[in-house]
Amino acid sequence: MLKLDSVHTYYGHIHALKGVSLTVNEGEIVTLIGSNGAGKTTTLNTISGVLSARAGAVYLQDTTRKAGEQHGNGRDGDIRLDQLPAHEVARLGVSQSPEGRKIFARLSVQENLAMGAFARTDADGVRLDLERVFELFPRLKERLSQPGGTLSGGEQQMLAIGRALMSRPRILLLDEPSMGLAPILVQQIFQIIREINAQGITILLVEQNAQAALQVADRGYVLETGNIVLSGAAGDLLANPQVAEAYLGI
Amino acid sequence: MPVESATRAVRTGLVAFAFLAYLIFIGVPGKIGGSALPVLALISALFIWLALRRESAALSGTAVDPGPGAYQKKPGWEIGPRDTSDASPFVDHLPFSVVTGFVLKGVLAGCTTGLLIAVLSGVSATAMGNGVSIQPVFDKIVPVNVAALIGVSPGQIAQAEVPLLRFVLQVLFFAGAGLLAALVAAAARSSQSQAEQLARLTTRLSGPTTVNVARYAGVALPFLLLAYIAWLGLPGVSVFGSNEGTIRLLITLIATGSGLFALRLSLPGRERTVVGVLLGLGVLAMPFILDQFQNSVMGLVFIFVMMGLGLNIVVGYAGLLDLGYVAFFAIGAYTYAFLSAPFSSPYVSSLLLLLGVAPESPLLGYWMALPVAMLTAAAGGILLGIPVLRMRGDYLAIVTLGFGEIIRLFMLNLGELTNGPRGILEISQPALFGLSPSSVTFGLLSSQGWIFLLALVSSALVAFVAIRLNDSRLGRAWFAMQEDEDVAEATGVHLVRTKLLAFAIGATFAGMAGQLYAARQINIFPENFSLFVSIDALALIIVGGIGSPAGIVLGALALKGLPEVLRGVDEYRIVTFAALLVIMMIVRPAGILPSARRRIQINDPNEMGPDSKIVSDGEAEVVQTAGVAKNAANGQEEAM
Repeated sequence: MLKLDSVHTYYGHIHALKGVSLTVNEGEIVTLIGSNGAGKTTTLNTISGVLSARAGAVYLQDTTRKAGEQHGNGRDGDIRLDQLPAHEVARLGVSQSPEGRKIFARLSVQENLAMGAFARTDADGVRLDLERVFELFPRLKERLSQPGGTLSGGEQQMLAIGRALMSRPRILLLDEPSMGLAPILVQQIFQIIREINAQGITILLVEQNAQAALQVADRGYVLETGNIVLSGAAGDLLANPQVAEAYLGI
Repeated sequence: MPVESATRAVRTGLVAFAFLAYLIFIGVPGKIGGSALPVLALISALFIWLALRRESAALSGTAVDPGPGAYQKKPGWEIGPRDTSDASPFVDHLPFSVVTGFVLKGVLAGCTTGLLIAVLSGVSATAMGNGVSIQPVFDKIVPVNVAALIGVSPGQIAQAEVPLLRFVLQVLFFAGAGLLAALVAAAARSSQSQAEQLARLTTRLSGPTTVNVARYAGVALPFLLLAYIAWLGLPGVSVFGSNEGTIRLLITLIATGSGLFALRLSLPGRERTVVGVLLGLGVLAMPFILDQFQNSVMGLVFIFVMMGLGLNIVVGYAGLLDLGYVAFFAIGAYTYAFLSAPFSSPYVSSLLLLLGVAPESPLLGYWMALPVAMLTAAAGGILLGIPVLRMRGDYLAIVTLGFGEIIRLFMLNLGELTNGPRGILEISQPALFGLSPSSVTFGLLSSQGWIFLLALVSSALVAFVAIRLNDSRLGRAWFAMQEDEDVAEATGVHLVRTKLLAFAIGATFAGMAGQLYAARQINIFPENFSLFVSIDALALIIVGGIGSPAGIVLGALALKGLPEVLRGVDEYRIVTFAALLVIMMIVRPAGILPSARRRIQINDPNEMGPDSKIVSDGEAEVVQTAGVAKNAANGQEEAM
């Protein structure tokens, strides 16, 4: 569904991603683990179009294209995300819950969620999805008119995920959803990630909490200073002594 | 009363006296004649109220922030959001002893001020009576001035016929002002949070509670003032002598401003609709009641309301700091000037001939020219917007600043197109149904009243659009973009289009304002469009409260209206005005009537919690919700 083909991303002269290739299949939870500065967030930002890749390509499987219609930038009918600006990537169903939550602090919870559905025009569908988000996060419903900035850390994370879900994404990019949360809340968030996936949304999860991430994921990639050094089924990675030593702290 | 609080009260009195003495030395009493003493007493009441208010805030601080661990002890704090009506930690009314303390302090402070004023005026009056001239030392201590203070005629001072009773009355007057201030401070203390106040009001409409009575008074005030203005305008009524025009303008400004507060005080629903309609009618009647001078000032005020509302879209909604906003104002004004003034540049004429139109004057009337001026200004907005799309913050401010100057220099130097510094003269007046200010049938409205009426109607339209935009999808996109461009883009906001729309819509409003300004001035010159117009527009939305349309009206009243009133104190006008601004920024740092969104910004959203400091009355509400949120989070962690 999503495929990165040796993507190189730079911050000025700094070579952050040195040829990252990965695939995410429909319905999977794939996790990207690695230490600080490995390039995890850069990878997500490159996919979502906030950063642009200098070389390589990001493909998204194109299901929306009608017969005969030509997007013209893809391979085998896929859409090349790296050639599109961020707002168009978002409209194609790639939704990001950014690192550090980055909710709109001065907009109310309701307005934050409405921003998630910004690109949508189907009012009924949006209302349905709003109900779905409230089912996942009942606490948000209690806070509807409260400014996002006054929520607690856990609630802000819920709001960030909820906002990302409101676009009815085909693929959800979750960036460090457990950052700065109490252990008990981390468990809850991962439970919710599983639920979201069960509803048929593909997830690419970036985490420092490698153990929890690998437990919830189907497959994993290990990123180290801009290179994929290891990949495989999540269970295999959990059992891998290298991974255990470097990331699981065992 | 403890010695400590007594000294504090005396100190408050001294501070109030210092300010009043300054006003006396710059000659304010002589200018306002018979009303000098009440005005000074009210000002001292303001100081006393401020001092007591701070004390009451300190008292309530303990209620807002019960300290760590207190949440568990108070069951009322463990419930959900906004449900503060029955388990509020705020006391409904202060204990009697506290109110007494307030009153004692207020009266003591008032007496201190009054005594010193009495001594000052007494000494000056006696000295003058004895023929001693004190003018060289304090140039404004003159008979007129002193007489205004003690309520006698200047002649009586020369004869030293000033009985002791007057001084006693003077002290009592200020003591009364202190009492008033203390009562107001105590009443305000009984309900700190606006949300809570409203909740309480809806449950307790019956019965004359202090809050309710205050509310009725607040709603009635603008109507009383409007009636007063109308009465002052009747032939044969003369109250303030030569200063009547100025005083009437001041009351007009206060009436308009208090109307906005009355609207906010009235309960949502039918009551607010009725009050709103009546206020609207009252304000629409103003142009017919006021005279040429007041109408001309009010017209300018509302032209700047339009400017403020437009700039607010760019700065307040979209967060793009635009210091060259005058450019669009100038474009609107000059567009209308080209279309309606006899002066026609060879360029315009040849262009018209090319289009097959005979270059006659006026080419277009006011209403036909309106869409042209708006579109031209919008085009200017997009023209400015495109090169600055990638800029943020300081860089954006500098580039827009330059743009404003470029347009002005264009007008100044493109002599053949704009007539250069000689300006464009005899711009035609707006006419409707064949009526224009110059036509005889237009007896009811003065020409400036006509402009004021137009400005009122146009700014009402602009305000309607601005308020609707605030709650629209586009408005949300602007706010999101202001908070975080990257995240906004990642949720699907087209940054280029959204930014350009902000510039274009803001510029359109400025274009409308500019056209009306040109019609008001009749003759316009490049120097009408200097940097200071931009600064005024920006300052008025900051003073009023960025993002809030009602605040912008108040800001325009304060920034464009008050200086005209203060014209009476001539050379001290700007200093006094600056002092008022400083006081305002201390009392209400987020603006006079801040928007709900902006109020939060003053308390950094990331640092919010029950420890946040109260910035002013309005902020209490936010602090409180933050407390609830934090508390709820605590509860959540416990629950799991």
